[in-house]
Amino acid sequence: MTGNTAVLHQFFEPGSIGDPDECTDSDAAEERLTAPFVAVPEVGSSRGKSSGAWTNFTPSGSEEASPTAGGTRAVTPPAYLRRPQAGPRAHFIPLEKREGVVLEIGDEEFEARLVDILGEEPDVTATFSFSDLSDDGLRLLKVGAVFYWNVGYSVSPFGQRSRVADLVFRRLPARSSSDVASAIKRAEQIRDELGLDN
Amino acid sequence: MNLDSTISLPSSEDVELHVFGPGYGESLLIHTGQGRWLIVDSCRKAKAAAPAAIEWLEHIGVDPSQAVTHIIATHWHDDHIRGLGETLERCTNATFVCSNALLSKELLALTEDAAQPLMGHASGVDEIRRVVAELRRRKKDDKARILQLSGEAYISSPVSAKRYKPKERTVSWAYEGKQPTISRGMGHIYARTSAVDSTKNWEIQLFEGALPLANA
Repeated sequence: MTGNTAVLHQFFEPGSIGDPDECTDSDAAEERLTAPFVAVPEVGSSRGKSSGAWTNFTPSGSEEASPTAGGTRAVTPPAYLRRPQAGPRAHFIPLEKREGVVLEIGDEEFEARLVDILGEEPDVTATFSFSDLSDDGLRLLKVGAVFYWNVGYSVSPFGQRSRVADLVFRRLPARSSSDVASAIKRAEQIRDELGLDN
Repeated sequence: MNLDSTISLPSSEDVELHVFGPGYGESLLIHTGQGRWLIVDSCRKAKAAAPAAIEWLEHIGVDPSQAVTHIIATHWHDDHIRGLGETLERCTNATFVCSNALLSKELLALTEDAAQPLMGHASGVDEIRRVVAELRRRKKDDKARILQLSGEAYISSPVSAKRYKPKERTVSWAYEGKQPTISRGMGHIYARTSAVDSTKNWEIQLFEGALPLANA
């Protein structure tokens, strides 16, 4: 390039927050039990506790014990109860995660600045309707309040997908006046160190 | 298009403007001549090895610790300060330039308080604290150079030419037409002109290609 001819190059690296097709329900798969039955020891019997004997549970809930020829009680085969199997669970596949700060509140909606937590998108300003909030969220709504806004797919245990947006306000611990005073003191010390006037 | 054939170091008389960001230019890198560079704001791709401007300088073989003379922080928005702390740490000879507000007692107190246990906070708090920590470290070595701008001087982030009102003490870059959206993810555009004619409108040509930037 010569003279005053300017060249502007544009490069692209298409970013991707996440491909929902790549998601698998591996967690649920890992939790599937390989042994669906468990033995249940007798509870409430001293003999059962000390000898490890087992009690049969009948459908009516009554107990059975098998005497032996020597007068001792035979150990009955262990009874088994079916443990519920862990199948596919409902889960959420995030497409976009943003942190919002409430800027202005109107009569039926509010304006907020949204910061992309993943750092892939620029900050944007958006308007939300009060109807997007739960009753709990409405109580927390005020200028400066921080919330999380997640957009993604809600997947049912049966694999049905629906696109949802979830808005949840952050609850901050209360700050005491001494906490604030301590922070101001540290700030003054920093400015002193940097040679800045307080 | 072979990118490597188009990438060259600016000559000592060239002014070169680089714009990085996921949106409309969250960080600028400017060659001001004589091998000197300045960085305005910072952005970085998630999991990138370094902030975008630093990554580019290293890609073209420029040592940020020697070549960057100024780091300018325009304002405290998350998308403009991601990686600002590391940028300052890497550019050891740079003067840090910011508004009075960015190092004000009130803002420092806010970041100090927000950093307490149980106080969740956005990444901006950590970036400001990292910048302050680096400035304090340099101060101990008597190497800290801080330039604070008064309320009468501004450095603005990109602004539409229609809305841009030139002010005597404002440094900004304006775009014409629709706000340029670079790309989803991290984008990078740059322009070069002779310093002699840098006040004229720059003729812009667009090229596209694979980006040897970020964690590509």
